[in-house]
This record gives sequence, structure tokens and C-alpha cells, in this order.
Amino acid sequence: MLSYLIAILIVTGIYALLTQALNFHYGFMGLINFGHVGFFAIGAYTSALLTLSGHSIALGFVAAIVLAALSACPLGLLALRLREDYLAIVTLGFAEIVRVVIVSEDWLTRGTQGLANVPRPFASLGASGQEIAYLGLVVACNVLAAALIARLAYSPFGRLIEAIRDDETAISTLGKYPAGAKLRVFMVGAGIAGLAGALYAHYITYVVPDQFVPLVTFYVWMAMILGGVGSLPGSFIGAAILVALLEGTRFIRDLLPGVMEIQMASVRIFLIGVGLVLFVLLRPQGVMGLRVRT
Amino acid sequence: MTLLRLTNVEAGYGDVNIVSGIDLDVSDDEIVTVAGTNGAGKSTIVKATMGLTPRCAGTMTFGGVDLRRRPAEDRIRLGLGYVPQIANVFMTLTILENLKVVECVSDFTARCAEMFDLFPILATRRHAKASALSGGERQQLAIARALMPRPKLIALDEPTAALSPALVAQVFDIITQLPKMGVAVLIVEQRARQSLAISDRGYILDSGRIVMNGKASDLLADARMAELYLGREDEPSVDTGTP
Amino acid sequence: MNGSLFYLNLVMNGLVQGLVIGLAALALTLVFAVARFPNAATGDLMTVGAYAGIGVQALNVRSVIVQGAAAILACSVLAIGQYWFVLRYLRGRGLVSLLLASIGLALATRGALSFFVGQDQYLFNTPIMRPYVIAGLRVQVVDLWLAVASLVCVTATFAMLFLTPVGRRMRAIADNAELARASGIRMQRVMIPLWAAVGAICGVAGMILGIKTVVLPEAGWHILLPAFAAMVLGGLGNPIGAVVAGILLGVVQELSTPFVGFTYKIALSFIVLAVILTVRPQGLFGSAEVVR
Repeated sequence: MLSYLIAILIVTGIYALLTQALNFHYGFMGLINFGHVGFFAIGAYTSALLTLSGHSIALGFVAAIVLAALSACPLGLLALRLREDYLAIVTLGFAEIVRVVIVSEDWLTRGTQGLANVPRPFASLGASGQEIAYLGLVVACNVLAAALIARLAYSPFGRLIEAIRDDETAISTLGKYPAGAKLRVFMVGAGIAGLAGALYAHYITYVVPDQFVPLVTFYVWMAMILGGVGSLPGSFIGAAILVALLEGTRFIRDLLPGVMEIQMASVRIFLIGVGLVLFVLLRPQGVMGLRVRT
Repeated sequence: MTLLRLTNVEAGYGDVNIVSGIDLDVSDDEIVTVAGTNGAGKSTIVKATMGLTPRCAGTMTFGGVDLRRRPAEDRIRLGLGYVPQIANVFMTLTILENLKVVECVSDFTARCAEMFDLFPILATRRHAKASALSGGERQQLAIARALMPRPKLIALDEPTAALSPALVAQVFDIITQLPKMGVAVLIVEQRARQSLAISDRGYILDSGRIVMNGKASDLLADARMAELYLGREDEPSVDTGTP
Repeated sequence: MNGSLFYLNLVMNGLVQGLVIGLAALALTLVFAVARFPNAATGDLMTVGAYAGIGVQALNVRSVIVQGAAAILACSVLAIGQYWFVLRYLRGRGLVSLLLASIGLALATRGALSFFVGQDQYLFNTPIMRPYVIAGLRVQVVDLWLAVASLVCVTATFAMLFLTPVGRRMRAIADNAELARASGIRMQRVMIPLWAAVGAICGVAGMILGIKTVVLPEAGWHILLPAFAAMVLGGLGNPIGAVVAGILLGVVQELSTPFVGFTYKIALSFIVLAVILTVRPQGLFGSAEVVR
């Protein structure tokens, strides 16, 4: 039971990290990112590939962050010149491209088979010690990310962000170039999502393309709405509720006798869809959040 | 008889009130000007009357009907016409389509012919896209569009903002004809002098509040008000629009 | 077979693929222009259409016309339902709320559908006919009929938009929503016909997709991304541009297959999108001739 609880907390922490990053993108900057899972996948595969070829886990983590952030750069440069409606579509497409590349380039990623035996850190601490240490690592990463985002959000840079969100044209005429600030936010958020990917890969110990479907992006959006857009503490609350809901759907299995396992996948997708619709309908302040307050 | 009456109206966007404490009325066959500097909230008054501001409080009646209970798309049915300042025609529709798309027009053919008599230039270009029209022609189309359902009142938001002086005179000329057709007029204008000259009454707006009102001729004669809000006589008042 | 003929045949295939993308992009564009959001439920709406056709086929009705009619009916009813029970309440709440709601509707639709039909693939039993061979170019009879069907569908959509009062109202709202309200146009009266039309287009697109490939619960979802790309390329809100861009993307996808392989097809439309948007941020056809 304790190990189940720790496992749940680790997964929640990983989702919280993703939610913080998305909140930084959308809640703080208004960037409509629907390709979050792409950065997550890049982080996961980067760290898995590096550690599997003998490099240290630490290097894997750093590379995951850097590569995910760098991948956001060309995408950001392209999309930030465009209207906001485009960004949603372009990022959605980006994440699918990442997944298609992972599936196709099997000389590197072993395609749909995926990569197994991704090493877990803290092996010397024994089974339960390892789990607890990993939870500590996830918590530490969350604290660092929250500190970074808070620092950026409340610095002069943060005030610039707020100004951009409120009045983009006014800022551009003032001579500060908002696209530059936007790009930095986009890259920082992507890096955090990459870190989440690395944490995920080394916890689950295997990666396959099916883990990185657009559904993951939608999960993170749900978590952000649940916790409140633009609220950092909300990212944690939202992620916790999301994981509770996802775990909860496992128990629906018991409520629906006579439903086959393969049909359970359909039931889950259906419930997630209905949930998303209901959140949007019933929690408008969750979607609008900070953007309305200002 | 009073047609439109606003009592203690406040309106704005988000948390911000642009105008407040507005008392204003327009009677049948009357031309009323709301003048004021740029940003005083003139357009907001008209938009609130049309039901197009996100925030609006106070009492608004039109012909005795409570306007606040009617959504924007139903106000035309009460006889309220509207010509916005910018984007006042459907650019991608033809001139004929711009007239056809207006709701509650009885006897379209006859009404359309009347409009083409009033604005001959539109008749010759009826199948052209509105985006192909010049600024003055577009303004004519916008007024024609608003007149289609035979409104009792039309509200014009800076009808001369982007026009050359010759066209300004032309537009004001059209406006003076409207009361004879049984249409009361509410104009929001920066060219306050010219607008008041054709008006029966006027209101002066400053920072979201009405600071003066009265007969147009009295307002024009008031030295203090002339200095503050109308610009010097030799100047054709402040003009933000490009000719 | 000589080289150029090989590519010509790829172009032929691409054209039919492109029709599906173009129709989906047309449905997306109508919603985007009038209701102002990218409707992520479009792909799964198409899937429902394909399964409706399969359902009729399972009843031993061989006529593709009847199957198509069932697809159109099912999709229209579902699209109107999605509007009436969900999207209607989100008016004025901004792009993100509507996009998220449409993603939710897409997932709910796919979940409900796959619960009942399972993950098995279904096929339309179209009669096998000898292809026309024109100077070595093989033209499948089915493809010709599908092209005719799409053409009818596109023509009907444009006839609605440009020749009927309700189409005129739609274009007015797309052009200037505030002025449309001030002109007395009631949103509700336009939205029901709009979603019916969107459903009908998705029904036809779903049928064509099903006939050309196999019917699977994810079939429509995979068309959504290329269709998004086509909508953006077409100038975001320009229905003619969307159809043309969709057909172009279909051809480009098919022509690229020998070089980049089958799996990169989806990615390709986005690479094309990225390249073109770098050069022309307003899209291929995003200029004065835009219905918005």
C-alpha cells in the first residue's frame, strides 16, 4: 500500500511538472501550446538513449532539458510570428511529428518496440529506499521548477510578460521585442517538460511511442484547468486531481461487469472526453483564470 | 415624444467603466450630437445603446420598451439602427448582399429602390464587393444598410472620421435629411462644430461623464465650451482620421 | 512502368486523398469562420460517418448512395447535437475553451463509438471494376465516382454560402460578427444550418475515407492534422483556399511516399505548413478574397 502511494505521488509529481510548464506557457504568457507531449517525449527519449549508451543519468537529465528547450526554438520562431490560433495547430502538429519520427527512425529509437531497461537511479538504496529517493528527486525537480517560474514571473522579465499579455501592440511600440520574451518562455517551459520526460523514462524504465500520444497533452490541459490557469499552486492541485481521476477510472472496471478489457479503453477515453467538456462548461474561471483577472 | 432614454447608465469592458452616470434622451425627428475629446467614451454610449458592450448598467428605454432585456440582435426589431465607426459594412459581401442581409426588412425590393434613389452611386455598383468602395461610398452603404428596416432612430458613430472635407459635407447633408423621413439621429462626433450645426441638441462628454447639455445653438455660442471641446473656429476641430 | 507514369498514378491517388483532406478542411473552415475556433471533433465526426455507412452495409443495403445518406444524416445529427448541448453555451468564451471542448467531444465520440464497434477494421464492399487506362494512366472507376461526390459536396456548400439567405448570414457573421448582431442576425438560426452542413460534409468525407482505406475508430482523427494544416494554408477562414490546399496536401503526401516512406505522411503536411508559413505568414490564399 505504501509503495502504491509512493508510485502515485511520483506520477503526480511528473504531471505537476508538466502542468507547471504548461501554466508558464499559457497561464503566464498566453501561448496556446497543444504540443506539450512532444517536449515530454523528447526529454524521455533523450535521457533514455544517452543512459542506455552508457552515459550517466545526470547527463541524461541535463541533455533532456536542453534538447527539449532547443526543439522549442525553431517551432517558437515560426509560430510566434503568427496569430495565436495558428500556434495551437502548429504545436499539435509538432507533437505528432515527434511521435512519427520516434516510430519511424527505429535504428535509433527501436520504433514501436521502444527502449527497455532504462536505468533507475538510487539502485544502491534497496527497493523501497529507491522509490522514496526517486520521490525526493521528483519533489526537488518540482520545487526547482516552481522557483524558476516564480523568479521569472516576478522579475522585471515577469512584468514584461504581464505587459505583453495585457497589451502586445503597446509593448512592441515601446521597442521591447515581445517575440523574444515569448520565445524564452516557450523554451523554458519546453525544458521543464523535457525534464518531466526524463523523470518519467527513468521511473517507468521503458519508453514506447504509445506513451506519447496527444492524449497526454490533453491530460495536462485538464490538470491546468482543474487547478486554475495561471496559478502555480494550482498546478499541483490540478495534477493531483487528474491522477486521482485517472486512477479512479481503473475502479470503474469493477462497476461494469461484463465489459471486456479492450472496451475499458473505450470507456476511459469516453469518460475523459466527457470530463473535459464538463470542466470547460462548469469551470470557466479555470480556463480563463488569470487572463480575466488582469 | 421621447424615443430613446438613458438614465444613469454606466458601461465598459472587463472591470473598467468607460462611461458612468449618463442621462441622455433623443426624441422623434430630432438630431442629437454627443461631442467630446478622443477617448471620452462617446462610442461606448452608442455601443451600450446597441447592446454591444460587455458591461452595462442603468436604465435604457426605447419607445417605452426596456432595452436591457433585449439582446443586441433584437434591438433592430424595435427600430434601432446603428452605423459603427469602423468596419461598418460587410467588406466581403456585395453591396446588394449588404442590404439583403439585414433582418426585418419588409418589402425588400421597394426599400432597396428607395435606398438606390437616395444613394445613386450604390445603384451603379450593386454587384461590387463593399471592399472595392471608396471611404465615402462605404459610409453611404453603411447608412443605407442601417436605414433598410425603416428604423425610428439611427445611431452614427463618428460618421465622418475618415473622410475628406468634401465628403464630410456630403455625409452631414444626408444626415440632415433623415428627420424628414421620420428617423431620429444620434451622432457621436469629434467634428463637434459641424455636427452641432446640424443638430437640435447636444451633449458634451468628458472622461466618461456628461459635463454639459442643451440646445445645439446654445452650446455652439458658449465661449467656455467652445474653447474646451470644440477647438478654435478657424480649425475644423481635431481629426484623428486620415482624409 | 516508366517513371513519369508512376508519379502520375501517385498524383491520381493523391488527388483522392486530397479530396478527403479538402472536405475535412472545408468543414473546419466553416466552423472557424463563423464560430471562431478550430473544431477538433471534425475528424471523429468523419469516423462516425464511415461507421454509419458500414452499418447500413451490414443491413445488406448495397447502394452507396443510401450508405452515404445514412452517413450524412448521422453526422449532421451528431454535429447539431454537439452544438446544441455543449458548444452553444461557450459562445464568447474564447478560442481555448471551445478548442478544449471540441477535443473533449472528439474523445467522447471516439470512446462511445469504439465501445460499440470494437477495434476491428471494416471494409466497404465496393464493386471491383476494371480501371480506365488512358495512355498508361490507370484511373479507378471508384475514384471517379468519389471525385464526383466530393465535387457535388463542395458545390452544394458553396451554393449554400453564396446563393441562399442563410449562407449570406453566415458570411456576414464571418465577416463582422458585431455588425451582424446589430443587423438583427440571430446566431441560433445560422448555427443549426451551419452544423448541419458541417455534419453533411463530414459524412461525405468519412464515406470517401472509408471507401478508399479501412474503417477504424482512429481513421478520422488521423485526417484532422492534415486538415488543420490545409485550413491554415488555405488562409484560415477561406473555404475555397481550404479545399485547394487540402487537395494539394494530398498530392504532396502521396508524391513524397517513395522518398520518405509511409509513416512520414502525417508529418509531411506539417512540414509543408511550416515551410509555407515561414514564407507567407498569412497562408497560401490569405489575401483579400477571404470569407471573413
